[in-house]
Amino acid sequence: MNCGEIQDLLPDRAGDRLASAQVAEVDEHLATCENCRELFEAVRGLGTTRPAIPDDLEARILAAVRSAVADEAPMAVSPATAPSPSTAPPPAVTTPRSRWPLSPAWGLAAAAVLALAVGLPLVAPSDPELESELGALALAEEGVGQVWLDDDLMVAGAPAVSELSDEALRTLLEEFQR
Amino acid sequence: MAYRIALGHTRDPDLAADVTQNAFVKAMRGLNRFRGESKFRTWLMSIVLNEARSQLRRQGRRRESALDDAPPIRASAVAVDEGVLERVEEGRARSLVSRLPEKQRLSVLLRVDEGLSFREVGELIGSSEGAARVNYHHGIRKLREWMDDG
Repeated sequence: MNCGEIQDLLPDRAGDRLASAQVAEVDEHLATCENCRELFEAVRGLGTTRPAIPDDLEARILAAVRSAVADEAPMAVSPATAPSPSTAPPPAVTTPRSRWPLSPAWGLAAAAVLALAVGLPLVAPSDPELESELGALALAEEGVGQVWLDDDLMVAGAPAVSELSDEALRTLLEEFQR
Repeated sequence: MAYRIALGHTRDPDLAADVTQNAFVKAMRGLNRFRGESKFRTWLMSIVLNEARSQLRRQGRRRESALDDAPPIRASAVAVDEGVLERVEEGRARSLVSRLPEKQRLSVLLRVDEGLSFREVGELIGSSEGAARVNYHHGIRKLREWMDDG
């Protein structure tokens, strides 16, 4: 590989995203090319100082979702789940210990987007606040029947939705949005 | 991911948080429009970048942030051993990248932080794959020059 090709790969080398054969080739080049080595130091410097995510970001996102849901809920709640005119708030989402009512369109998708947004593993069905938020989203989706998701199905067998591959995530989204 | 991209574009932590939360809501509302033509992650990034651009326009902010005028950290004034010096250098790279022009900055950050291909970077910044690669190369070279000048 020439210098340009090596420099293309510097972010992947810094981020350990290369196959071992490519690592060897890049490292061999860096050992003898001062210019590329200096560029690699700059790239690696960036890679090791990724900005920290604010502690309150997740809470802010959830607050924004709550606000958006509140704005949409009166029009969007389906007849089956809509409260009667005399009862102001929608009914609380009741959740048996390990089962979780969520709409197919919103449940996993909401968790997936949130996980990707904050870059943290966060899907924990035992988290009452998150459960409540996602349950509220389920109520806000018009015309979509509820399905019962087991805790482990919610995270699709993975420790966190953010760790799913794009392909797996898309498949799951399509499955649950049908 | 979304926050880092928002920060890379706005260079303002508070605004980046606003962008992230707004983009999240927009992404949720737009989920039904995701057709799978791009990776889900790239699609989400495009929403974040659009929201960042929109917020910057709304605020009428100039792209030159206060960081542009900040003096570079002089490693010799802070570092006392090689380990510390190395960390200071790494921090400088992150600080200096915010001074790059927008397309160079985003090309570098999307490649380094998110591991996107040049094709994906090009999609997100509205350029060809080749232009994204050129922006990335110019960006890392400038970054290196500024580090040497510091």
